[in-house]
Amino acid sequence: MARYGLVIDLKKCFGCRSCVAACKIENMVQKGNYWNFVIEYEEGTYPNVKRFFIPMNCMHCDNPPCMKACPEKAIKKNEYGIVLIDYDKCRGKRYCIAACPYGVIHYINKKENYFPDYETPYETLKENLRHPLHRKKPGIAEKCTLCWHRIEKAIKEGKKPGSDYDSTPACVPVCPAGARYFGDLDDPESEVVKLIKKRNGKRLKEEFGTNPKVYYLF
Amino acid sequence: MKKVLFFLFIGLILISGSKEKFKPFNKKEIEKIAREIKEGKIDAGEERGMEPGERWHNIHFQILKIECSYCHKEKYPENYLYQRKYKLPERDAPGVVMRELCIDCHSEKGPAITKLYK
Repeated sequence: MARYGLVIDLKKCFGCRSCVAACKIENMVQKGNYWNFVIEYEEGTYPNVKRFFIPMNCMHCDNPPCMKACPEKAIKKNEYGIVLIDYDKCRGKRYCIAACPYGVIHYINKKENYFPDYETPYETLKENLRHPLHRKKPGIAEKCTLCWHRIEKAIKEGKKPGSDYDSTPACVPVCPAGARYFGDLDDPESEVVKLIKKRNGKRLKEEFGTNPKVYYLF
Repeated sequence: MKKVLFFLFIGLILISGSKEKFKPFNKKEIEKIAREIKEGKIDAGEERGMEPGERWHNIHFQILKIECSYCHKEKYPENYLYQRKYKLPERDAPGVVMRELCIDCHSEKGPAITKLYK
């Protein structure tokens, strides 16, 4: 069984936030919440200054603390290693938010439209027309699904996830710098595995033992 | 002189009081408390939630007597990689919490029953 993950090349990322915007639109993310976000900071003193852009989304950990912390057992890791929240089971206790060391889970406090007197086409879309992972409601937690709706569709259609635009997480193909890679971490021939080996890919906060499936190339 | 002795006495009480509070690395004691909570010998409350007065804070603050300032800090360090770092707490939280603090107790070798981290 494939085990999907991401590789992000920090030497290429220049913090344009195309991935953030694509994710917001694709997944109809609640106003104020971000499934994908770019952390930035500076190091050094003038004139030797470096600026870092670190895009962060759910790490889809092999050992997810959010799943262990959830008192409602609403978080599951599927057979492809993708960690998903079941919105029907979630009661918004926020234990997952407290347990996640990456801060990638968000709480939907109230339904809030992007514009005060106008609903965007995404906001008017009826619930039964949405993928179950887009049927969010106030009082629950939400996070990146690695665009599972796209991967699931590709698998059903017999396509290899990541093989074309529609079967790849939305944040990947929109990156103008080509800094994001998606693929099977268990396939030694995949581009992601080759990159991790060649560039010595690192994962964030390994001390937590969460075994995240998002690798960074420094 | 009486005033000096009085304040010295009050100071001693405060110091001894704070010593009785949280001992972060007394694993055996935490293990015992965690077991008793699990067995229902210590009542941590039924309402699971993050608000003060609910189970989470009851365990960490009321029962373990961890002081607010042990977990809550004013802000994250500049280079701290935490996606929600720019988000202010929704309620009147006394500050942000760095999850690195949780590893000591909530790892597989730690004394807490909920083993969140390896």
